[in-house]
Amino acid sequence: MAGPKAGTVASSTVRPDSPTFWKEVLGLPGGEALATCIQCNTCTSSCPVEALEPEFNIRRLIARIKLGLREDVLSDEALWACARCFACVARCPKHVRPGDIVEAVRHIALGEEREGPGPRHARAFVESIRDGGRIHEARVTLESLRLAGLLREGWLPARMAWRGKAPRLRRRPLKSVPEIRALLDAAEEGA
Amino acid sequence: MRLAYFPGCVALDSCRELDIATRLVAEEVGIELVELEDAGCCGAGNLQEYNPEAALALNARTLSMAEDLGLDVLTVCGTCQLYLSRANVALRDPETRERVNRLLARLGRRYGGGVRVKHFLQVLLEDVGPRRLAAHVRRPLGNLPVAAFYGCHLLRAPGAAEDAEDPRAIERLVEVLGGTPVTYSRRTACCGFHVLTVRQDVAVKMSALGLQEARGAGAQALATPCPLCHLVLDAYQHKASRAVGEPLNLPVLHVSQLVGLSFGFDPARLGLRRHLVSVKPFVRALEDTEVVKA
Ligand code: SF4
Ligand code: SF4
Repeated sequence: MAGPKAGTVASSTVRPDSPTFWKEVLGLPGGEALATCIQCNTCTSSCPVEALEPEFNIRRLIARIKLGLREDVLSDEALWACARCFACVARCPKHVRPGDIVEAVRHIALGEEREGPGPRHARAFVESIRDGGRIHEARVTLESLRLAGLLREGWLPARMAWRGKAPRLRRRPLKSVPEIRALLDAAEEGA
Repeated sequence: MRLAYFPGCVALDSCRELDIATRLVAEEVGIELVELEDAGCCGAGNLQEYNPEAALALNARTLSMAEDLGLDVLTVCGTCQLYLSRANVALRDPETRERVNRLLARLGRRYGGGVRVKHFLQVLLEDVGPRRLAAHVRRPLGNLPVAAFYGCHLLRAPGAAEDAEDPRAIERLVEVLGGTPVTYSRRTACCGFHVLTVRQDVAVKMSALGLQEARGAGAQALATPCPLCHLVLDAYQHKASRAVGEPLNLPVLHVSQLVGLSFGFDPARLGLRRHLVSVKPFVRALEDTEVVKA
């Protein structure tokens, strides 16, 4: 079934499905100041991504959270278009920290194991930290883009390799990986 | 001066030239780098999204390693600077610090909150200072026009010395090194790196607009304090050229490389050959105007 375009609040088929969604976001790191938003649009007019991709509108994202459009927000691929530039955080007159709200919402989406390029990249990144302590760029890139995406890069990987610029294919993990993994596990247990 | 050096991930991987140039410059100005070899990734926002507590704990671990050495942390990346200093600010709160220290205790670690996190650009301008820097300049930049590309994260990091809307650090540095700073409005714009894998079209267009404006303003090179900005601006520049429908051809230098060039280091030693956009025209222009100081 062809559903409505993700993120179109006006669409009649997008209905509030979680009136307490805003509380959920409010309780997470980054979401604390959500309630004070006055919808002034300073964030969106500062947003370099919105200027190129109007599908991603940070002020509207906040409105949708407040309206309780939980599924609509979490399934929206545009959520993963925020570039974490934090221009909105610097300029919001009410100190809402809109960019940090994106972080909180993505946290919920990742916790629900949502699919798509955004969650895939975040998971590949975290896995890479668990495996090596630091990022293994080649692997994160490949897992995020997959083979099809890598092919779309055309000659770039070859040109980078020619220049000695390519990320390493093999990487030695940090000696402290077991320690780092134990720390991440402990933090996840909430111990 | 000694600092706990946190190179981060990219400066040791695809942007190895940044690590190399930073070490050369640091040695020249008398900064001893004690590398935090076993420090983990700063999380770069991804770990923060996945699990904020884990990201905070991992960064607290890094800060505690520097604290054990009695040193402040040195970063060479805007994103490392942002997330390490954000963690540092969060850990100023005694309750948060206690909570995270309970996690660190399992590794036999503890963070007391006594470390500062500084980016190399800030160290060069504030700790080394313009006068001492100028004393090391053996090959002044010959008034060549160099434009800054700051990157968001360095400007938004808590405790940033610069005004995020109107920073001056790179322009001041370019002047000290004998170049002519070029100002343009997108010098504080976003390079798009953090959506490069998810929305490459958006990232490439964002960096393209910056490159285009800098070139239009007469820049012959761009200087950036962030390896992530460098990756987008340099390695993806051919795509940026396509996005704006004109060849951009603007070499992008790491701040450490620009300083190294002015110190008279051999371009090959600074890793300039690793760039995808050739730096040769800039180096040639530099040699043409060359006034080597005795
Ligand atoms: S700038 Fe702040 S108050 Fe205004 S709409 Fe955005 S988040 Fe709300
Ligand atoms: S942090 Fe995200 S939402 Fe905020 S201005 Fe930047 S790209 Fe837009």
